[in-house]
Amino acid sequence: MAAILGKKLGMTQIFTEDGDRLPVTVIEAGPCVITQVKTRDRDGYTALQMGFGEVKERKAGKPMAGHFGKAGVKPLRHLAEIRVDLEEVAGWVKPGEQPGKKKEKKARARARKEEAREAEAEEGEASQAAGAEEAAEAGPVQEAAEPVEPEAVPGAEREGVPRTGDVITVEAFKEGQLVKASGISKGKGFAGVIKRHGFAGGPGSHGAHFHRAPGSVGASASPSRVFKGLKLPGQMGNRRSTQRGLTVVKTDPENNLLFLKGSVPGGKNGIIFIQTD
Amino acid sequence: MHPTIERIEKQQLKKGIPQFKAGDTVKVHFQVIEGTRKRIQVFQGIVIKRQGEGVRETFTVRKHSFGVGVERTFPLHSPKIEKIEVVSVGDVRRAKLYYLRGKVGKRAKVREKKQ
Repeated sequence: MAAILGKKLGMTQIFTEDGDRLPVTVIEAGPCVITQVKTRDRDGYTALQMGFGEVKERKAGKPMAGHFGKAGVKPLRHLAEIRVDLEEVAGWVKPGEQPGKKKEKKARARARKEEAREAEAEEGEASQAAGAEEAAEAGPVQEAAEPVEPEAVPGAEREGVPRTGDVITVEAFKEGQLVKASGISKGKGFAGVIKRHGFAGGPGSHGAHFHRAPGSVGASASPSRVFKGLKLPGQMGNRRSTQRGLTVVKTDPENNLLFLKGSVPGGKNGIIFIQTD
Repeated sequence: MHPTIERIEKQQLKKGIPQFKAGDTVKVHFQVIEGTRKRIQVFQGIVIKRQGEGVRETFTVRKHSFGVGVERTFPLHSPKIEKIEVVSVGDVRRAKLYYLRGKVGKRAKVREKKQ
């Protein structure tokens, strides 16, 4: 499971080695900084919160400034969260640089202390939870039988557990991998049923009075109401939409670029959240 | 277009493509892969349009084969194109020669440009 936030730059085509053309969406993805690590005993679930996109320090509002200060990272414009098992993310989250400023250092120390506490708490809980989890996961898979080794020393930071300030780059994704991309789709405004739901509509001429209207919305005395969820005109687009099954064609870690085969929701400069599918 | 995308496209541009426009007669040497074997196929005909820009530019070549009109569109910068030869330069007054589609024989000809 890997995830990253990025900005859609647009679409183009690239030639494969075979000389075939591939339609690709170019996404400037990451580097994303981990802004919060959610743990089971504090938040009730484990997740990573990441931020993307610079914002001037003075422009970050007080509540957000506090949030970022606690994490010891610079303010970021966009945040996204992904639910993960904290032990499993070692592969794609890389340790971040330690910020140099004094103030930040203090914040960082605080954060680290907290982290240590979290780690400690997590350890105890992890062995329980992991046991439970494994049992739950067991099902037909055989490997569930072996118990978790409690080899990690309590108090010490566990290897591979992400901390705030850690960085996610496009290197988290491999070429050929399948991913899904979520974003805000282009708004189409208040659309009728033909555009919005693909209704067929009626004839344009030959004396017809039924053109683009939705038609009947239901029966009469029974049920004497209109069913919920009936396809009617309304706002189309400008809502979160996810495109699944996109292939990673290429990654360019130098320029933080991700090439996905096919299209992705939203217009240019839209914020896209990419996860392994 | 975003500068990054422009740069990506520029990297893929092919060099040494001869100048040609709609109305010219060209020979396109195109790689065909049959199973594991590669061979070159030559497609000769009149260019009826050029379309798009950058790496996305394509051109369409029309010819008559056994009495049937055949059109093929090639990506101009495709690595599969080995070579493009300009056989003759045509004298035409428009950029898209769609009018050739309805014509056969002598009428489907394009005047050659006088030097």
